Amino acid sequence: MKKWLFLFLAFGLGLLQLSPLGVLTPFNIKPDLLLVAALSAVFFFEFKYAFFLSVFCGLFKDAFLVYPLALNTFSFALWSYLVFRVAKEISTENMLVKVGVVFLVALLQNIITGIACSYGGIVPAGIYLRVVVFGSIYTALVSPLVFKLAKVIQNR
Amino acid sequence: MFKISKQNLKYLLAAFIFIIAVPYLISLFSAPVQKTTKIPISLLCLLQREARGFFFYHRNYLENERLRNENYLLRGKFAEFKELYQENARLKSLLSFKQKSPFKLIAARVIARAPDNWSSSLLVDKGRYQGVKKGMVAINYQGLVGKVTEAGDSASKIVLINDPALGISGIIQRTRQEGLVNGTLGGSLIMRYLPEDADVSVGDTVVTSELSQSYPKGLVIGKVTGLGKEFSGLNRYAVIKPAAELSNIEELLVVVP
Repeated sequence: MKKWLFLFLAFGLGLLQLSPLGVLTPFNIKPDLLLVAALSAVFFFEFKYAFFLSVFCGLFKDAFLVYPLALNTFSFALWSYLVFRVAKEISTENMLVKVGVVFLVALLQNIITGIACSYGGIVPAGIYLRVVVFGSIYTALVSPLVFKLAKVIQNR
Repeated sequence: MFKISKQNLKYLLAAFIFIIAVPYLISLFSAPVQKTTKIPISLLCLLQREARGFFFYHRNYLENERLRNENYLLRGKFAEFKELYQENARLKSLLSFKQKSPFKLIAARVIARAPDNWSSSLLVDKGRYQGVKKGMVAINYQGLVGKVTEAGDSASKIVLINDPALGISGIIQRTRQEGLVNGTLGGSLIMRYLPEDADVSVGDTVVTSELSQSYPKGLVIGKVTGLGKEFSGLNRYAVIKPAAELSNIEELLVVVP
């Protein structure tokens, strides 16, 4: 039941990410809610489920993107595995640690996706940096809300 | 018969003077009296209002609650009407454009936007069943919007002209100078491969070129807002402001070739 609820939450976050968020997109930047959902699953559920959910989130995101690479599906799966390994080494009980992990993952994800997507085209350095830096910070700032919801679902 | 005593005459005179003087006196005294009594009267009114507020607290509270709910309801209705009004205006301009346009067009509504920050695309509610095919061009009454990259049964993905992956062969309308228009993810496009001596100036309109088979000739892409030299130093580039407002498109038209 908890797992289904969390899957619905991830789906809801995906829908939110697809909608025009209006004032919630400063500098035309959206937070990566699906990435946060995938990482929340790693923090609050067992690895098998978290891995499955990460793949689901990546697939969901890739389904609405124009570039043909299933970049998010692969990268989300990879991040969930890496964060799972990191979570074994360090304590991720503290909210700040979780937010830090989300920031780092979002930063790496943005750098990789940015390079892959701007291949062949031109993304000015200013716009590239704006998306990488602000996008990652925004994703990290939003993550505590998703963590709270994930915790509520876990404690049910 | 009409004999009036001296005494009575005095009274009559006094009454007459009184009648004449009273309005004058009133106008003379009213201003200072009003000024003097203003504060006590307002104080009294305040007390009265507070007392009424105290005695009729429950009634006022309920009335306030009712009015507040009514206000919320009316605000909601107002927002709804405003939205309908704006939608009506947009659809009217789209319809008039559709009727005037020489192309066969399919009207579509935007249902989703790109979920990431690295691409600029839309999902529209028309697909293969409605005649939309991959490679078709999307426009609105302002100008070129993008290109269909994937057509599903009843929805299609449209990559917008400000996506870096999309390249459009464009020409400067005034001088017929050709260049390649690319997206930058931001609010501007960039027209590359302009020769060093290209006759391009700020304010020039850029339209689609007939060289490209994918785009109908003459669709407005945007206006030149700046010029610069490419890093290699061999070519110049022009910064273009797209004619279509890409950040808030809600309806568009797909051109059927």
